[in-house]
Amino acid sequence: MQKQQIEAKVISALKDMTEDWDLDSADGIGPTTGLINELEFESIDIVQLAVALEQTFGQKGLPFEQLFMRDGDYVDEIRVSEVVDFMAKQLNEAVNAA
Amino acid sequence: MPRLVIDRDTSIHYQCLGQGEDLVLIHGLGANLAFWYMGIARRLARQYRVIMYDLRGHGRSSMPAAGYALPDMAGDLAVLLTHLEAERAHIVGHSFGARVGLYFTMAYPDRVKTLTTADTQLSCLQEQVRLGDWPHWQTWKRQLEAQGYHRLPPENERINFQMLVHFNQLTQGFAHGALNKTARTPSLKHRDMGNRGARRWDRLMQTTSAQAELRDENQITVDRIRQIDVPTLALFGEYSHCLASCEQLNRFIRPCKVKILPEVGHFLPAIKPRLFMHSLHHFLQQSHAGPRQVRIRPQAQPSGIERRIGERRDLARHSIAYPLTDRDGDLVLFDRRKPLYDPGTISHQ
Repeated sequence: MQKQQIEAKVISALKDMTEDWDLDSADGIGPTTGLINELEFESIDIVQLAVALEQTFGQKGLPFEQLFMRDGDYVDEIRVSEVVDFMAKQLNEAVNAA
Repeated sequence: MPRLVIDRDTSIHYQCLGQGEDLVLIHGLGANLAFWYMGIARRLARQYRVIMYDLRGHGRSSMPAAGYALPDMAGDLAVLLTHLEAERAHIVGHSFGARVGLYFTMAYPDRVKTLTTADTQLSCLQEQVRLGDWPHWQTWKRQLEAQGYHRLPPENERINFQMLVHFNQLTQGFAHGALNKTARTPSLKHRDMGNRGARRWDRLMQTTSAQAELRDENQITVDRIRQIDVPTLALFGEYSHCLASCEQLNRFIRPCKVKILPEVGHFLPAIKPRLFMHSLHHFLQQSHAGPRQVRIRPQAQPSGIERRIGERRDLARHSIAYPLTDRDGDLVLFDRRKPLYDPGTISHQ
């Protein structure tokens, strides 16, 4: 799957999640959008996103801790581009393993 | 998001990770299953089928107008386990979640393999500690004031779940009852509430019977605690205000192991996840040992812990004497600088 397709699916999942949220941002969701500072994601939202992405891409047991932890500590921000890169890597590894 | 419908007004959001023996993780008040999912759940999932769920009124579970008493909460878990075809499970609860786990064990003993109660305060075992009487309050208060937090609860107030949630909101810069933007972003490490989580909590407190029902612990009595006969772990933080309950659980439950994690307070599963998981895993492995028990002798203590050993601390008329040992005589202060498991110190019975 091309990265552009992955990005489109990730942004679509985020839009589905946040459509009823009262967000200030008028710029919409793009690659530089921050989940925590801009979309006001809380930890339960990270879980929901993880589940949604596994369903969207037909994967199970993805190591999402690689997204929200770095060098053994929790990150302060997760950008959409980082989610896309993460999914691209996981899908690539899944293809190679098959 | 998997959701189990309990009745017309109640549905429970849950997540399962991994395969193996069933292990249930129950969060505390004001939290949700992310408390575990973002921490130890994925590691535990390497060996267990980890079952996490949002208590009713929390996370993505529904918020019925009533039904927040312990029998209702335990009933939800029973239905969930039946739905997942989990006949018996290891039950792990933190704070209020530990109360749910404890009551579940009393009400459904045949469904419990082991019970872990992590840092919970039980009114039948201890009086609620006044904030000013909590030994670590003055240190924490100085830290909060140094960071600019001055709207602190009065020191004669008793530490209860509402105060703990208030502290969570306080450090978010959230003015109670207002809908201001948070002064800083929610910390994933601390599983902080953001604006939406805080609004949801307010709605739970103000529009349902939860506030009154959650306070009611009449169903947990010393007599019922004494009847618990599954392997039990009392896992508490050294700075916790709940240590008196820990001591009493150790006294009344046979068999009970006790582990007190050093230099951490009430939120030990989130703040020291590796240590928490290590202690839990060790207990679960020991509970499998069967008739031939493996006993881990305590290792030599470093000077930091030696200072604490022998101290006698008073917590609002309830004393905790160190060293604290469980029924097998194992020292329970965990030496953070050394692994719990050292092959050189194992003795076999």
